[in-house]
Amino acid sequence: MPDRGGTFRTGNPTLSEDQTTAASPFAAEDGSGEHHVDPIRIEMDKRVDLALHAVMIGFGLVAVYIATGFRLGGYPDPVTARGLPYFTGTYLVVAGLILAARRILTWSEIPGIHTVSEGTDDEPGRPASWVRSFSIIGIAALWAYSLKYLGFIVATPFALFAMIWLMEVRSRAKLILFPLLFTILSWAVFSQILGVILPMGFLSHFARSLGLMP
Amino acid sequence: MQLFIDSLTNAVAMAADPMLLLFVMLGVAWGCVAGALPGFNSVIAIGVMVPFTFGMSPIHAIAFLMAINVGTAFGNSIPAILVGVPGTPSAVLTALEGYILHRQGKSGLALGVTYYSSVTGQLIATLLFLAAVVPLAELTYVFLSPELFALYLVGATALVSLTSSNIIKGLAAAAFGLTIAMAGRDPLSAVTRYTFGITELRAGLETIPVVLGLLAVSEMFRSMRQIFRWDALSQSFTAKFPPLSALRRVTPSVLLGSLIGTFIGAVPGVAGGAAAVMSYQQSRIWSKHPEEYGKGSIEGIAANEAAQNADQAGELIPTFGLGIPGSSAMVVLLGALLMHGFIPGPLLIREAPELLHAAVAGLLGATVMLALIGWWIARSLLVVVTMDRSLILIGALTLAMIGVFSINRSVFDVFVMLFFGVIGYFMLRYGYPPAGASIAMILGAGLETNLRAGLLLKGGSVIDFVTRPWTAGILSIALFLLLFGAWSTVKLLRKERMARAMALERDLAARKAGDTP
Repeated sequence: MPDRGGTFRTGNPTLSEDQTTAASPFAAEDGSGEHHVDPIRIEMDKRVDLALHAVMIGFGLVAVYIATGFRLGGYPDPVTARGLPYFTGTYLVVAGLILAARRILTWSEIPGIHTVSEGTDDEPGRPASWVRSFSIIGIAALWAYSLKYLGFIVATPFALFAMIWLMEVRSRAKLILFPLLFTILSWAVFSQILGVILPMGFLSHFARSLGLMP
Repeated sequence: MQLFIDSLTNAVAMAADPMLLLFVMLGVAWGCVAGALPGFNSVIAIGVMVPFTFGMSPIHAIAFLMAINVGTAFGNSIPAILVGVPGTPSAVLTALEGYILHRQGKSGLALGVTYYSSVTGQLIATLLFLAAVVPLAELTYVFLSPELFALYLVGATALVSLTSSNIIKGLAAAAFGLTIAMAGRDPLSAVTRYTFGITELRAGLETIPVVLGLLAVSEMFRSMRQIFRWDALSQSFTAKFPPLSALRRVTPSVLLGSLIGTFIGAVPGVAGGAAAVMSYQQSRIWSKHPEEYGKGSIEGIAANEAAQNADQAGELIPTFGLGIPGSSAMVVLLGALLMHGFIPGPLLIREAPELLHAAVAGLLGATVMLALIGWWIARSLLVVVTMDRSLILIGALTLAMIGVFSINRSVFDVFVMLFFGVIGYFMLRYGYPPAGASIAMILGAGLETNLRAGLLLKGGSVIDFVTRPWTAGILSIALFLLLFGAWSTVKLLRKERMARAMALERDLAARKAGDTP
């Protein structure tokens, strides 16, 4: 049994697979009506799913615990500032426990680490990398952090270069021109047209002397 | 009737403002381009433009956002026809029929019918939207806190029940959204909650960074997992506008699609794809040429396109009339409109009628603009369709970050957006609807305030609170929606059981094959 997950098809498509794929490269996957093929996709990682349930339980417990410290108002409010936090926190704990129990009890019924998908899967037939997504998130956070020190004009092209490199863009023209043009255009639109003061970092004095920022 | 005519007259008068028309034109153009861009949807299209609206007057901003919504519904059909890849799930049937026509060299016919159906569907749906929203204003005089609480509850449960396959996860997403809405000052007693000593949290979390993070940035992060391009699928083409006889032939399908689209779109939580599929099927039933369906039917395209555009206007009915956004795009739109002083719900016409007129002016203006520039845009968008998806995704993420920063010049807001983007990513992948969390976050303060104020009104009696006639009626709808959601969960469990049986069968077969010498 392969561990990469997979897709089972159910239902009775009235068009042959050839007809649907000929009509549209995605129709066989997304088609509706008589072309509908209802796939059961086994691509959801059980371990992450279980970890999320644990996070949910922890979040609910913390929410309830913190709520116990909320001050009560002086007037006769039947719900008080604690009412809704208690309710939502308790629901998260109970729901997390139910979902975790279900996952653990059915763990070995489908072999491997994947189970029936409940969320949005990747497009079939193309390799996916969570490392790429999270690296880009990291660069985006670094960009936000460095704005104060490096300034928009310096931080943005470097961040854009790194992000499109991670997206496997290898054309030199794109790698150089896109970050530069995007930075200049967005700076012109936000700073000069919309009047948003973008941080200039260590270039602030220089930018002020040129009249580019107040 | 008088109120309808007054609202329409005011909207038309407002649409004559040249500045408003300029913003509407920009909105339609951006919407069309964004709809056609690979990896974009209406949530991202509206989301990245929200910060730009803060420099506009509320009337211009609302008209601009409405125009983007109209443009996106049209634009997402262009890649469906020209490369066979639907911009959104609701354009799947346009891809099926339109791509066949494109490959037969009938691109002009497919694009022309799309253009005609979109414009007509939009116009009809705009009038139906106004006709449906105006009577809801009468509810102003019967709705007190208990009814408003019930309404907010229906809003949250509708989106959660109809968009999540697992109701327990859907409700968990809503509970999470409510919890983050509680950060900051309690609306009644002014007690600070969940601020963790962070100064920026004392006034609560900003709506736009959270909603953009949960809905738009999460989708971008998810899309960045994979690299693929559409340019390999494209081919150059020439397009001639179809003859009037072809447009006459598809008119019944357009009318049918417009009505079905508006009606289905008005049901919160029902995706646009349902309206498109239903009108396509009905159109085939009533067609004189049912044999053409699936082989390049222009009636199929017409029904689908009219329904798609009408669906967008239909979604505005609960969003504006009841304050219940029916889809992710409407959640972002409502979040942006709230920042411009918009008062959704029955109070809208009494408190801020000019904002409703601005919305209708935006819809009508966008329809006219689409009629004027839509055909030209449709023929020109092949360039956009084949743009590098990687650059577009990174550009959109950067634009969203700059935009969110520009709201308060706050790096903290950017971190908030990225943080909720990561949370939304996991929610998307593991079946917790981010739209459910977003709507709960937006409606949270109103829901809690009205619950507590309503109970105070009834002397703390829950029975008196829930047995008010309107409240009981609306709460029954919420209960029905929850039961419907529970049914979806049962279906998911059946699917799991079937998958387990198949996996077992496959395992046994593999073992048997392995035993054979």
